[in-house]
Amino acid sequence: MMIGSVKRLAAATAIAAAIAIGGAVASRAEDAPAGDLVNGKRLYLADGCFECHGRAGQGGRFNYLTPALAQIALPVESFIAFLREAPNDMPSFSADVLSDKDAADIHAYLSSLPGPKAAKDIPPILNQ
Amino acid sequence: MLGTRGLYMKANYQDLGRYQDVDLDISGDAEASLPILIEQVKRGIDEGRKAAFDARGKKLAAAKLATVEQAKLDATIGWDASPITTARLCAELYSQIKDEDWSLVGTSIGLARPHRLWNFTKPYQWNGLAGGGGVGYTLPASLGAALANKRHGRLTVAIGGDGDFMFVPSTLWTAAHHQIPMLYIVHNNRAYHQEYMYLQAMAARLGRGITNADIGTTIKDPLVDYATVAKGFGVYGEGPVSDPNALAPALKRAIAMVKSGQPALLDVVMDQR
Ligand SMILES: Cc1ncc(C[n+]2csc(CCOP(=O)(O)OP(=O)(O)O)c2C)c(N)n1
Ligand SMILES: [Mg+2]
Repeated sequence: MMIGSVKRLAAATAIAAAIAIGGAVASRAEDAPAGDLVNGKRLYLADGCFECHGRAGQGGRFNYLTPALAQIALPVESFIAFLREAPNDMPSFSADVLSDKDAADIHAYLSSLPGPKAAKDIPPILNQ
Repeated sequence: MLGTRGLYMKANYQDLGRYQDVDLDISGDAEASLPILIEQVKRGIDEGRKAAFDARGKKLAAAKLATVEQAKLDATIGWDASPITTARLCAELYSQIKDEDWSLVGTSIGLARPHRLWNFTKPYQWNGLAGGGGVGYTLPASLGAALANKRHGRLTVAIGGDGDFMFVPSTLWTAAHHQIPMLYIVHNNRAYHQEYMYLQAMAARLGRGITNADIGTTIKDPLVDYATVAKGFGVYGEGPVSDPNALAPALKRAIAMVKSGQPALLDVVMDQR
């Protein structure tokens, strides 16, 4: 119980940090885990991750804003720990429905999704 | 005379006297009352406070600018994706209406992008959400607001859910019959998506059926062709638009139709939120 909540807190802190620096991380492709991208994409859609985090990993909204996951900065171990005991309204995914291997594949897919690009190249955005 | 410390003003009687811990709770229309109220407040400010207010205003303006820059950066993720991101739709739409006297009178569930990306400076530029959260509100409520905007010559735009549209589609006939100009964009995520997310969360929590949450929550097999539905009611309809590069020209055609005094519907196949 105690260990669980400590782990949960650590994971939550890690993801908060990941979100905070998300915009500044150009690419983590080089230290992305050797996961199966194709399987990761399939699961990201089939298991419903896209419903709240967007098909492009752009983030979205459930009962509150949900974070962008493209170019995820969270290391794979923390990502899996986070899924197992997710905070707030994010549902936890147990190993019964999502194995460590499958979770790592999703992580690999998220690492492969392009993050933000320079808004200066996009006229309608410059127009805002 | 103003002697109160807190004032809560809202035209919606449902909220009156509820939840707000204020000294004075009056029902009133903010659009009509605020200009007078602001003048009163300005008159009551002495020089010392004025400097403090100016400094605070500068700070807030800088903070606002920073959030807009962040929102712009966020909006680039998935810029070329199909289904089209809500961020792209909102950016493309705003870049075509921002120099008009625009009024956004409907937003699909949880659509936060306009308030992050657009510059709202007038009371009528957004008219809020359904008080009771009822699905089916957005299309007819938007038309009511469009009717109110008509005599002012405002460019009325609304973005509503596909599930919401399914409740009272005959609103479009009313729009055609009374020639009420309004650009209605169907946020077509092919789902009652809010329910889809709730079911997904429950399935994960219970540890079963996590790939089945689309049953009863999605609007497919068959897909609805909203542009054809619109045409059937005598309203200009275009779509489904799935290609992000086809969006700007389609918006341009629909906006031209609205500026000529007619309603127009654009069905945009968009991501969920
Ligand atoms: C009258 C009514 N019926 C059912 C609901 C439950 N409900 C809340 S959101 C939602 C789905 C709405 O679908 P859509 O308008 O397409 O929005 P989306 O969530 O897909 O963006 C439903 C059925 C409700 N709030 N009101
Ligand atoms: Mg929908």
